[in-house]
Amino acid sequence: MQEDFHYYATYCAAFIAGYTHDESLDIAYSAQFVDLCSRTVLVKLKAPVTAATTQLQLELMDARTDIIGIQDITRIWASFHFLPRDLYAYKEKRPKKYMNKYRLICGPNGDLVKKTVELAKDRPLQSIGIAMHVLADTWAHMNFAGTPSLVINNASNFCELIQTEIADGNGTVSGDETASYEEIPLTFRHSPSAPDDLDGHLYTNSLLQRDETSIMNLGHGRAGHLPDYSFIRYRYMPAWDDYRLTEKDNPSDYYRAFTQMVYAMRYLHGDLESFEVDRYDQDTVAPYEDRIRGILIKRQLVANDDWKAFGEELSGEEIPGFDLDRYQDEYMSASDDDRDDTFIGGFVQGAIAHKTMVSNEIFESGNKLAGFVQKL
Amino acid sequence: MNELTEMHQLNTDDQIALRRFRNTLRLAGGGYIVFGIWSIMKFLMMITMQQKYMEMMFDLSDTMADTGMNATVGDIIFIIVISLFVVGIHLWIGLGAVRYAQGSGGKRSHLVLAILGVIITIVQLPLYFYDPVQKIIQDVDMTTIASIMVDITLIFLFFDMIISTIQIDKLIRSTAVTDTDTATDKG
Repeated sequence: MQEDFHYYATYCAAFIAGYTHDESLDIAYSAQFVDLCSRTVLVKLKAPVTAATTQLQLELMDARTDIIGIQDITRIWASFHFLPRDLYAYKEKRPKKYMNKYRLICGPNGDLVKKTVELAKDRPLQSIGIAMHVLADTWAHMNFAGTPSLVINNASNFCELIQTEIADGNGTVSGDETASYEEIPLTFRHSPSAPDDLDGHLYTNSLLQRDETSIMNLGHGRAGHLPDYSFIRYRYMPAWDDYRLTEKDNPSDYYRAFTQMVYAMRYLHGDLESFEVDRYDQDTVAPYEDRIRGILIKRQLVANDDWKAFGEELSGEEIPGFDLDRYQDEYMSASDDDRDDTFIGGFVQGAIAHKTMVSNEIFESGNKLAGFVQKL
Repeated sequence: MNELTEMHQLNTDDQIALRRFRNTLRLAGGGYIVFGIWSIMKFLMMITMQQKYMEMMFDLSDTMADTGMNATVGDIIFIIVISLFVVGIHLWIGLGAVRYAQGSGGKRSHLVLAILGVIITIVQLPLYFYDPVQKIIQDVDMTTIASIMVDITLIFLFFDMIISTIQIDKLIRSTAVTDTDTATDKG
């Protein structure tokens, strides 16, 4: 997902769940910061580099892809962007080496989602933001794994599904399953600097590299930015699914992500006693459903403006744009003893706790791809 | 999750098998094109490093010299013609296989040539060990072993191509399998 959902939509979800404007801003900031908190930023801040929640492209270019490097990459990406759905999944006639990667495939409503949300309970708002980022990404990034692997993450046979008519004729935009769809083949090019051409169905993806552990085979690189566009519906063939085609309905998935975030944050706010997977707070979100679905299906590269407008209508307050430098001076000028009490200090603590939890769960399942990690 | 389109019809056993064989055929076709490089190298090594073939070529050059053509030019022309022929065969078979896999070429000429190719490759394997003209057992060194292994790989590739083509044809004809998923990402 992009800034439009991780920052602005998370703000909206937090406010709807009952948090104040300032609290919602802190949650949203933390959710978006997960996509930017790289080792480069942490080194600049003189913060613990183990708290890194992402890797920049330049960092990935220099990353080793031996077992040590793979473990380092997997710890970050599987923890924060591709939370595994089922660490004990089974597929017959596959060796352990393959199964280790197969079990890292991301998807919503796995056991780790519940653990992620529960870990954020009674913790600072930064931890809630981290949890919401992770939860939201399980919907957008499903069917890809946070480890470099050609046999898992390669994908082909892409075509976009454009809704041509709504069978019930009432003009709803809910992605009604009785609607009909036109199939349009997608074309990929390798031009990272050029924006995707939505009208021409021309998108950018990572180069096909037949080396199994190439960085190009990390996450959803082979699908380009398609998983991060809320409006798009498409069909493709993931390498791990034995030549089966899969459909991805982003408007529907993003709406579920939103309602699940509201449900999770109501639990974290103390309004609900427990958090269970595969549950969504449809009732609380219902008054805003049409507005949200309208934003989700609007064909645009980035939906910041729409989400921002919606959020400001909700709270009546202005939502500042995301500023990476906002809390950096506070952290750098604090003494060593006081750093944990700063905003970034709280984020660092939350990130380390979450990464440790996920990496430990992966290790405990018998999978060494995230390395040897002891529970805190 | 609800299906947007009738996905269950696109994921029948026959559809899945069709995709698998198309992919195998496409890879085999591409692999055979790359094998053209090996074939040319083998040809060049053969005529430049094996005495009997060099002599054959010099005889040919002499013949060309009788007609007034320069011997060196004759050698070069000979090499170029044969190389182009080798590349052409590889491209014909390989591209034919790739096109058939993508569903954009109806003819199966690559199948006939692949069958010929596998027969020729199998038949010529013993020649690595025995020269029937001079009736002598050949010395088998590491380069010979390497060549044998490459040729065995080529045999597997041909079989892949043949079996995939036949299976694709069978799957398309035997059921009402529609060609909906030949659209591929061009990247």
